[in-house]
Amino acid sequence: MSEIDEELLSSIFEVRAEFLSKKELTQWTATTLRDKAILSRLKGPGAKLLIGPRGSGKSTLLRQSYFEMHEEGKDLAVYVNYSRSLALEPLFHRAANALQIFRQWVLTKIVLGVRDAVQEDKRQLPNSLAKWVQPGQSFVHDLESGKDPSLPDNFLTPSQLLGLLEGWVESLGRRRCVLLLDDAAHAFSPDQQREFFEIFRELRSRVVSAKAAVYPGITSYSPNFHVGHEAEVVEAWYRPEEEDYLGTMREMVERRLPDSYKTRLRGRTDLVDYLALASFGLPRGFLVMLSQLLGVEEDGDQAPTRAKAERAVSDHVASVRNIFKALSSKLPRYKNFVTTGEELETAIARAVQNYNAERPLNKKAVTVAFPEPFPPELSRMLSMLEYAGLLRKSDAVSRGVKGVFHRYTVHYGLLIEANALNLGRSFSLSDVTTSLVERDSHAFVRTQVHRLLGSGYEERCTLDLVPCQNCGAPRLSEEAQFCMKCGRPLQSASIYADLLRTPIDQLPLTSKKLAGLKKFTSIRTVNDVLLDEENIEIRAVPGVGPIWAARIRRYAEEFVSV
Amino acid sequence: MFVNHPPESLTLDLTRCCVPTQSNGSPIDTFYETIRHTLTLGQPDQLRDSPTLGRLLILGLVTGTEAYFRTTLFGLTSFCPLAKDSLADSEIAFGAIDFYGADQAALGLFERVSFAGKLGIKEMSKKIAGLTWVDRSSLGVAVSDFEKVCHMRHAAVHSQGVLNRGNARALGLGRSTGAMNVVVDMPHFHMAAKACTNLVREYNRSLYEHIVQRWIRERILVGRWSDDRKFFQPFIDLMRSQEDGLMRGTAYSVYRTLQSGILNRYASP
Repeated sequence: MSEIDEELLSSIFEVRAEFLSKKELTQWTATTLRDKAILSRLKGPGAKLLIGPRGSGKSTLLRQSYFEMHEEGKDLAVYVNYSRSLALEPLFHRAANALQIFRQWVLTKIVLGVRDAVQEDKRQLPNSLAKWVQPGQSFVHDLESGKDPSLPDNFLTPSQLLGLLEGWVESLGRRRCVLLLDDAAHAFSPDQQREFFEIFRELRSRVVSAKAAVYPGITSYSPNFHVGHEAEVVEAWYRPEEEDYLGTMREMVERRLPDSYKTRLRGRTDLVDYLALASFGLPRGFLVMLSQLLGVEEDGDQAPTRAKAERAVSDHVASVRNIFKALSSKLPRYKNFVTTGEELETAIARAVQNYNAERPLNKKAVTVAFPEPFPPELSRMLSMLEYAGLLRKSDAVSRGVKGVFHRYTVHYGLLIEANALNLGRSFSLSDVTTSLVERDSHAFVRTQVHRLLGSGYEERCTLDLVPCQNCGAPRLSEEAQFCMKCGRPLQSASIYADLLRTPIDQLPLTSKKLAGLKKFTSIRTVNDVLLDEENIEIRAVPGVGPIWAARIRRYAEEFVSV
Repeated sequence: MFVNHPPESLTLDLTRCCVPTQSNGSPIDTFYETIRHTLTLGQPDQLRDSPTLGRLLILGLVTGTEAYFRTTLFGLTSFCPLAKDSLADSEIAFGAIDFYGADQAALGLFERVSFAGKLGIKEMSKKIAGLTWVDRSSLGVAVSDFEKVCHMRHAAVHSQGVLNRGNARALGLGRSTGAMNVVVDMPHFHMAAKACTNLVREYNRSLYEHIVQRWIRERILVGRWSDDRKFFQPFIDLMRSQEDGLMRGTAYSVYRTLQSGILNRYASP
């Protein structure tokens, strides 16, 4: 395959939406009616929170909004990506004014976003914008590369930025300014998260509105920020139970894949539908599984088969599970919750499997429900599973005197892989599709956490607090900053630094790719992957072309990002 | 008829409560030792049961921090020629010379100075060391945080924990909250200790960098250990934290790392 083809395939299967060009985004993205409704809300007034797990299409929707508004030319759309925020986390361990610096970084990135938007329109920067750009660019660059810049003399406040934005809207002859803030969750640094949502609250006026892309479950907001009141919630990810879902995913294949691959899938809509359902409404997962089915960068000449599709689903489920497992590195205090959460996930799949035994194909359940009130340990685990995309929260339902139940739909890929649909020993792919598409939407598995995890599970769900490094005394509580026995400071290591040092075994790589990296390269840690900026070492591994190289890099970047 | 019991006679001799000062190590290490001990006195249930204990321990934290500033800045006056120059015209009480002796007469300068607040720290840092900073710098933020702790201490010392208008405003309390008391639980006690620790750490680092640069710029250091030792040795002894253990080796080995910078200064006009 020619190099151009390989690079194109890399874009098709691997490039994150924020790096796709306007042409690629327009060409490759299937916009459903539902998407159009979401885009309308993102382009409109009022603060919005766009919620969805990784790979659900949040960045695609924000970028589409951005390009559409530029095309329309009425409003000033500004796109900002905050995925590098964890790179600032070490600052919180070495500077008393880290929060002030972080705030400045958030605001300056918006200024640079305005610059990009104006240049996108091929217009001249207003003078009042130009004077912020150069110092702002250096400040952001230095911070994101781990240096310790001091706060600039031109020090921005949210209200000042608001005034500037309103001025730029007027001078550019626009109606309004819409800020599209991507990767805004800052989920692994409570200080950053709190600060971000305080800023988000302030960036609103008659002329300016902000939309932020966040993760479900583990995003917590500042004490003054009330979700629903301060910002409307908009769900990003597709609903696989919706009527046009399979049509949308098939259209994605049609738009995105080169003709040679489409030809190989001809007559195999069953495989496409199977993977679409297994992706559980997450387009990125769908594309990754599709690339595996088609043997891209592997045994590309062989026909797509059911066995390959099943392996793709299995690998995909493993990678989603890895997102969950990675929480023990990103939120080390919740390590025990992650371990017990893995048990919970398995137990939920088993409970669904038992429920589905003897049920006909069109009466299977995919949802589990827990009664109120939620024990805090359960609440925490469910939030984390939601973040990873293994569960999706549905509406609560009242069963009268029996109480109110909170429903969670289980990732379809997980249900397939665990045979939780209980389809028997030999089943066809259409059995899988039928059971997921034609199921009883009211059926759900009522259960309780102690039934799934056993009584006393709470004792396994304790915060993993590192004991005093000096005297070994256990840390009394999460809030203790000093040892109660010897009085020495309790060390809190930089999460970012730890994440960089993590061995590549923790990335969701196939065993073949992992073995290849260890045999043919000196790459051993996540940081080693990131330092290989041109993917030169990574590409030295046999079977790793531009797609897999981009994918490995993405895994590493996502591992050290929010 | 009297409103309360009468007083009783008392022979108040507190001289036995006064023992010779023992100081080991640099001011920052002495601070660490003080804070460590103070922190072990604040167990969560004890703080919960006694608001008085919490207030007294806040006082202990602030006192420890004040002592750091006093000792460090005084220490500087004993060997830094620039500090001596800037204090040359300062007045001290005559009795201070008699009490402290000629060698430590500079202690008289600190007698009416309070380091329990931003003002005293800023003023004396500028006066003695020529050190200044902007509010939004790491040091500026650390000083502001310490200032808040000082307001709690002020309420604890002067009014049994009741906040006055100035204290309440500094702590971000609104006007209409009515009379408020300082009650310190473990998390807030630790936060206060962290604020004090942050300040001492940031100040110590900043002061060290500032003095080194100043001595190089003003050609106090000439690039020969035999001449520079009389300044640099006591300076390292004053500033270095043995407990943190980040700056290893002798004062001479540290000096060697700066030598090229010192000699470059002489190469330039």
